[in-house]
Amino acid sequence: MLRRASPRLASLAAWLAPLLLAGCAWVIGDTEMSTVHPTTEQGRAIQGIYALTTWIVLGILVVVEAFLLYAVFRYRRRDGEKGVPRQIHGNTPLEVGWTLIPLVFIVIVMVPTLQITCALQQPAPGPNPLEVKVTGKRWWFEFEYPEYGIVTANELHLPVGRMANLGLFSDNVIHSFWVPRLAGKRDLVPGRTQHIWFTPEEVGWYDGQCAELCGASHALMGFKVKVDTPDEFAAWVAHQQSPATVDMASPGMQAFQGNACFTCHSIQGTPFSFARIGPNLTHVGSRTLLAAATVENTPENMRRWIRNASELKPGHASKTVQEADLMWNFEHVPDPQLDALVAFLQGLE
Amino acid sequence: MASAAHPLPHVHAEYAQTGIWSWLTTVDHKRIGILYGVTAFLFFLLGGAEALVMRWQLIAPEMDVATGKTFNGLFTMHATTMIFLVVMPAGAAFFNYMVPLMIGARDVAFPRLNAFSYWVFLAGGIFINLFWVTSLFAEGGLGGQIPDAGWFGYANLTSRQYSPGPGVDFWMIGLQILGVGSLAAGFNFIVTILNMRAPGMTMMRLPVFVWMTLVVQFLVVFAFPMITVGLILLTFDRFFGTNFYVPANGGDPLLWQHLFWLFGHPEVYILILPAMGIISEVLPTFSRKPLFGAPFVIFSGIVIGLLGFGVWSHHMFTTGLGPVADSAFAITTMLIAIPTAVKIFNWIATVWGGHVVMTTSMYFAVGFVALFVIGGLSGFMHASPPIDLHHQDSYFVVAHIHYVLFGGSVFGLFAGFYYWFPKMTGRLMDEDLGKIHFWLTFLAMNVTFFPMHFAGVDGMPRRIFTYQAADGWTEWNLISSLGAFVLGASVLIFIYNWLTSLRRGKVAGNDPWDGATLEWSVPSPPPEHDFDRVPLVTSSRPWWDAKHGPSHKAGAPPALPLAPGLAGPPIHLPKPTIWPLVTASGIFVFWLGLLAPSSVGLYVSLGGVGLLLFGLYSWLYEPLE
Repeated sequence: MLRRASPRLASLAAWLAPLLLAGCAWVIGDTEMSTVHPTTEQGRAIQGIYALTTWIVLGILVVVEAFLLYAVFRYRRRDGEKGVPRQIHGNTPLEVGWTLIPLVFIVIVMVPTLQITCALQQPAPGPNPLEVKVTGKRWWFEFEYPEYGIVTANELHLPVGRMANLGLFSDNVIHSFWVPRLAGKRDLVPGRTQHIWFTPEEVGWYDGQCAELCGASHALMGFKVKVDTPDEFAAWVAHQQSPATVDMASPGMQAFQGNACFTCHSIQGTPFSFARIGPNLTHVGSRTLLAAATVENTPENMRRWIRNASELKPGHASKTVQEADLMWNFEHVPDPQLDALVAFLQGLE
Repeated sequence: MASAAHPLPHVHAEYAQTGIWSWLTTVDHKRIGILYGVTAFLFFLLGGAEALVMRWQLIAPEMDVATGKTFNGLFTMHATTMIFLVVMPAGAAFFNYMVPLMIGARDVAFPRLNAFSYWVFLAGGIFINLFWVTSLFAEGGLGGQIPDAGWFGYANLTSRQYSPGPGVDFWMIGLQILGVGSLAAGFNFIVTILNMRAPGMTMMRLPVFVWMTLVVQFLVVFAFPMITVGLILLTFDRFFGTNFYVPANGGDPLLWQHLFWLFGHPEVYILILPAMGIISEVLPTFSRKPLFGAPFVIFSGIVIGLLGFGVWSHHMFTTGLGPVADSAFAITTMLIAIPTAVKIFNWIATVWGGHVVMTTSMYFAVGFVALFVIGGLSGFMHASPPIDLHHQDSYFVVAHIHYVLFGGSVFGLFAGFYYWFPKMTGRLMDEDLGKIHFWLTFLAMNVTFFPMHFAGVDGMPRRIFTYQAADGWTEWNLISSLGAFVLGASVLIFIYNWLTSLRRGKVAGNDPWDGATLEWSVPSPPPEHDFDRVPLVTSSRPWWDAKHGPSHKAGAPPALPLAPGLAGPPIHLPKPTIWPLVTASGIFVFWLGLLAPSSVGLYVSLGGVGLLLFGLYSWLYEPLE
């Protein structure tokens, strides 16, 4: 059947299709997490070597596949062809030649590779970088600004034009910090300190995601980076520094106390400002997303999250001692109490 | 098996060839090869099914087929199965069946150790998959105890604290058991290839497949101890409260990564070199020419094996090892491109100027070269640490690994299967079905795995069980999933072809492909003792020269010169024995004790030790023939 439908055309198409698709790659990669749309100097350095290598590799691919296909088609045994072809065992000049050809390409890629590899791992250059301590949790990111005394979660605010120097930590398993449009990824290894630094150049929102398998909800460990104008950033810092104004007798606060939320969560400006197990809730109402960028921060979603965290994110709600760092399912909380709690938390803007 | 029908008057003893007992006790390298092959294929179906469930989950955003822990378990078991229980034993199937035939030997050096290797492999494969049974009796139901920390098992996610259930224990101990079998087989084949060659078969006259087998065995022997050490430390951490990988108590999770990849990267070459060896036999045979630059292909294989031990930290560029380490490992990794390219150029030059016969086996061999080039080049890309900061743990690497392991290893194994099936069974596979199988596999493979490059460029991390429509990865995943289902269907055609050809395939004769190496000089399937008379080897293509060389007279049946002094009867064949199996099951029971409830665990383990010693003792006292 295949024999009748022009095998040459069919097979040619089969071999060429991947190559054509490859050409499209650079056109289509315009997603939020795109690795080929960098907006920082560091990202562009990676992009330079990435593009160079990609074109070299595609060129080699086309040439090698062409030789292979030519050989297979050209030297197919013809009908009635008898005997054996010339028995060639090898050719030393050829061998030397095609040992050296790859070496040439290796040197072309190697030189910029080593330059960029070294440049990316220097200590953060430039004066007065913004230091942020990034801690990987299960399954969310905590961001602490020692300079401003701020602790927040899952939404990293950075001022445009000022170098950000992120210190990467984990107090549980290995995670990886990856915001493709800002920088390459860097692992958060417990017991070690890593750094990643870059200078944001474009104001706006950026998507990030944990890139190292870290358990059941690894897929749902997203975060956002918001690059602010200097004025916006100053306003955000001032707002984050202000303590929450809380009526301790309100039903929501009573629910917060009564269900021991303070064991894991802090609210600055109340007596419950000591816990660092769960996200800091001082300004939780002002965050756009919930549960590490899993859902939008609406009262309904917050209700779902508190009531049944494991429905939104698998692996939560384990009640063993080993998993005390995970959000519980508060199934037993009566509805009116939960409503008051959600209203209270949403009010913490 | 047809050989059983022929009386072999000069064979000292003939042993049963049918019945389950004959398979449990066999020490015949050919039957052990078949056991390896069939077992590997059954695991291939299991690992493939696990992949299809994952592709079903990822076919659209926010699906609910297998989420969280289950999905993590599926990719852990898919990779573990395909690497340790499919590609490695499928390679071992060909080593076992073919190496003695290709070097003019009547069996491997240690036939009983060979049987022991297989039974230990089976024990390890069953142990890893025991969670399917135990989880039925536990909370969570089917698959509830699936190992879910990744096939690479990064510490400290594998610690008791973060993986409390028994899943990781099954995985960890199963791998440990498999290592015993691999090491035993490794030493066995090194001794076989070095010591059992027919007279005149110098090292440089060895077929390239045998050379690659030899390199792989050295890789096994030097690489497996690394993971053995890593797994022992992990076992102590999980069961006895040590802190090798526990950062809170001063341990270091990166220690595991170094130990694992120091094993894991040579392991990559353990998986690909057998396939490279197979196509180094298939391409010359069907081009009707010798392998171009055979010494260069052989030495390239050796260089790949050596360099393979010096590249492990390219799996760790994102962990921040510093510019010096990253640069060093980038250089060594890129250097591997040289011997790999040399091999590819020599394969193309082998086809060049030949009379190319496009059998199904040849299709798979050419497909191997075409697809392996893609995987090799994408691997060259992430050898550059800056690029790897994006590629690492993204779908780009998923695409890369499947181009080298499916497009490479599995295509090579298929090429070998179609090539040697007539030798093993005496019958030919159906060529029309074979070509449909090839084209379906080739197209579906590209449809499944090529879009993963794009998903990776678009920033899709690997090992995520779900994504959102807004991520923009939907189309690539849909295409990949559809391709995966077609890939699954292509395997059904292969099974049908295999089973029908086994019964009704055209009778092959001794030498259907006009082959060059010694296995084509014996009947198909070969008799139990392989060679009636041991040949004297005078070139790297003894059987080709017997047919086409200057000494061959037209019309006369081809004949190999015979080794003086080794020709006569009687032929001694080792006696079948059950004790390797018993010894292997002792190892299985011993480890089972660690997972049994603590009150009986110690007794189970002691029972295992008893079984092992009893098996070993009986083995030693079993007469040789």
